[in-house]
Amino acid sequence: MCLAQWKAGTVDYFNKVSTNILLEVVPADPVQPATTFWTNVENMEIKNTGVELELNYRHVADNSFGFQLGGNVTFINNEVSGSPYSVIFTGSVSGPGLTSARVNGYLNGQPIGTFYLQEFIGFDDKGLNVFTDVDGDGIIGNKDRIAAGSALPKQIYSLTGGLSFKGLSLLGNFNGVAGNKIFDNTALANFYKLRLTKGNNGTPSSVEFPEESPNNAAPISTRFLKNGDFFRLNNLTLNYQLNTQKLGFSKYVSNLNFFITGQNLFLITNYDGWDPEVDTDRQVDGILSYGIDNLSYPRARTFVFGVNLGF
Amino acid sequence: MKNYKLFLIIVLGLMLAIQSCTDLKEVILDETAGPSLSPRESADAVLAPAYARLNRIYLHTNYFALQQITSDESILPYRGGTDWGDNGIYVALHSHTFDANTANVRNTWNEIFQALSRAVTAVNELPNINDPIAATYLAEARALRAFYSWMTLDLYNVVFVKENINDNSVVLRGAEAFEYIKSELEAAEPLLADNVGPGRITKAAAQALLARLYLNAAVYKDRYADAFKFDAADLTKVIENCDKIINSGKYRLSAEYFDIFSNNNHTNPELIFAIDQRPDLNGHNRMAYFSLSGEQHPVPAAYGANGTDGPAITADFYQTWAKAYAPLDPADADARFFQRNLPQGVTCVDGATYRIDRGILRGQQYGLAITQQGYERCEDGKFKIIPLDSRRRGRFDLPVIHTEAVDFTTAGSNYPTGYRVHKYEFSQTTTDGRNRGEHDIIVMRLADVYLMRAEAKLRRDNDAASALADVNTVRKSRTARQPIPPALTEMNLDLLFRERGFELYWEHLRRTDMIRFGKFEGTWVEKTSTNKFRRVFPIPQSAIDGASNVPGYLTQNEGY
Repeated sequence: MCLAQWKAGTVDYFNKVSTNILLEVVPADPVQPATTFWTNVENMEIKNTGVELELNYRHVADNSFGFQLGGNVTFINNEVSGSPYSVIFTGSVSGPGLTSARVNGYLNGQPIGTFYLQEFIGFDDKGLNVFTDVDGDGIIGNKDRIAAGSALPKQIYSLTGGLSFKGLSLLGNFNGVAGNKIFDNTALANFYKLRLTKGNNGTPSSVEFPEESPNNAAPISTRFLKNGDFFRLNNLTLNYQLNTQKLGFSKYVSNLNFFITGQNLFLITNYDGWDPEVDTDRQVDGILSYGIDNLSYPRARTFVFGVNLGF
Repeated sequence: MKNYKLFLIIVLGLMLAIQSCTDLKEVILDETAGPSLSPRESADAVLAPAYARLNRIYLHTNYFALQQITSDESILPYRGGTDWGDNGIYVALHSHTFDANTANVRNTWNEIFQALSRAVTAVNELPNINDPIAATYLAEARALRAFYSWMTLDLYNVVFVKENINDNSVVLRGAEAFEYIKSELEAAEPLLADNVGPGRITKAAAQALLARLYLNAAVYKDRYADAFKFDAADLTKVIENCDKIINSGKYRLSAEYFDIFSNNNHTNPELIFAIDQRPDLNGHNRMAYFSLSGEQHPVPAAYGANGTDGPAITADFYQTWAKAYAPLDPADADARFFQRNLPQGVTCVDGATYRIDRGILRGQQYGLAITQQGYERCEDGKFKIIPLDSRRRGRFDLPVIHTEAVDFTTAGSNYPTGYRVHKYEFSQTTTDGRNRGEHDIIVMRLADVYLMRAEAKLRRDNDAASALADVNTVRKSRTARQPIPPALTEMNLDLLFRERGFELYWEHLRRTDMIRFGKFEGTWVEKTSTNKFRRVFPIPQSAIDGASNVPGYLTQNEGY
């Protein structure tokens, strides 16, 4: 027999439009006491549209057995429009030989957090980098950059689940994102083949390409742009609640439970950096950077065992 | 319990009462620009900022990069694949593939216009100051504004004319821009002081700038011409202005060539206009630091202060020296090429007199031996000098040998490749090798004036004899140290161009010279582009974007 059971669900649609974006801009006439000033850029918009779905289900049976399941997913579409600027660069990466290199670019028709980079397509016969020559002028330069994806995920989702039987309960939650990119500044600055020839250490990714010349440099490009999709078991808790009344010592101990919690128990991702859930702030001129992984400390895996005593 | 509470209330009440007795009388320790400033002080305060950013413009990564790395005199490869990659900007500058987003193009632009804006502010403010000096200062601010405008004309083929700081500038290009700068300098010149140099614009500085402007007039008036047409009237103006400076007798050629670039060069009589970097002016040492090996530690008192393995001279430029003096080695023929200050081999040197070599550095380098504990000492307490190795990279087995070959190949871009330049003297008070530069950075000096006059005479009248005399005046003046450059016996434009390289190498002039001599479309090392549109830099994309709300105000230069 069922004691309680309910289902719930919501669907949200959102359409957030930020207009007259506040930016630090360059004046039309460069003869000014300061090279830039803050202003609301007329007609420039950032549109954030999407749908959010949420479903919850809960079931409690008479023999004290119950379970619950819930989840939500958000589909986001972000777009910059009406910008008078060809590209607004931000996201300055760091590392030797990388001064002035910027990876994020805000441009019309693309989401914020877009990575604006030259497209790495392999190595030439000398084992040196080859990039797509977008404008076909024979020069690989800033004009050959492409919008190579955004740090903003296309989907964000989470799942929660629970089981309970008498005093025992198990609760867990999962979260994940899909469709985003991460720029692996850590690998760019530290894990490439050339560093090995200089007597520095690296990871196996340093020798990922056997055809790469040991003297090939590592400038910014899509080579270090990686998929940021992940699915993580964020938290799992097993709890056992003792019935002190029945055990006959409720006079002394009103509440007694044991629990074990694990955080970050598993992570499914193709991202080969330390942690896909990172964002090192590398902003330039007050324009936010997104999705740069630069020596960020990975999330720890923790186990907590506890006893709660109540008097 | 009740007593306790009462006690607490009394104590708290007392604390409040005591606090409320505090007298909040303001004590004024300092005030900015108040009525206490005399008119003369106000004039100083208005003019000084117009100069203050000059050494930011003349930074290794700004004006130097634009004028030198794009020329046949210098190259900066991606050192060892780890240093000076900087998103490919130095490779792009050298190989003439730079574009409107190249950082150096943008940063130099920003620095110049900031400085220019301060000059405009000074031009606006000085007429309101009631002091006899204000008229002289006004001329100085106008001349300085014209100097900055000359820089933007030369680099970007654009000038922003602004009389009132609140108005929008009028954009001029080509011949109109040339006319504007010319008229400004000529209006200011008679009113300028002649005893405030070399750190400020004097009469002679304005005359030298006018000579430079007129000499390049053919370029500025028709930037993309197949062959520049030098107007006799312009060349006459070059000669007139150079004559004024030379005949004034105020300036003398320095007997020791490297004294012109030494740490005490502010009083060197050859300097006409320079960026004042005397102590307290927060100068930078980048001109000295940029090219030197990262293993070279020039100052015993500054532990760890080193070079950076930046740019080297190209083999093409070196060959102009080698061919001119063959079979002699250039160091045995011309004191301007090299000055040896250190013994070669393992020796012990007194810290107080320790100076590294000057000029163009070739082959094995010698210097202090750095260890974790400091610089290695000899038993007598002197500093030990060793043939340098790559110990900072943990490679004691790799000697620092500067080679003639330097290019963008793997071997050619290794850390020690290329002959280096230690022309501006490394600061003795620097703490990190980068800060506290002690030498003034030269904008105009007397040798350049002689060479400009020689060129004008050659171009106007094909007067090789007079030109040769001017060139030899400069060569023969370097008498302090052997080998004194021998007098030349013939003169033509190619020889004069070569001589400008010998005398003025790495002095922020080479790109301008190459364009004027029609050599900028040549090829050297990794530079194969021969496009004429490269004679001007692109307007930075940030400036084009910034002006996009005013249609037609600022258009991009041809080709970019």
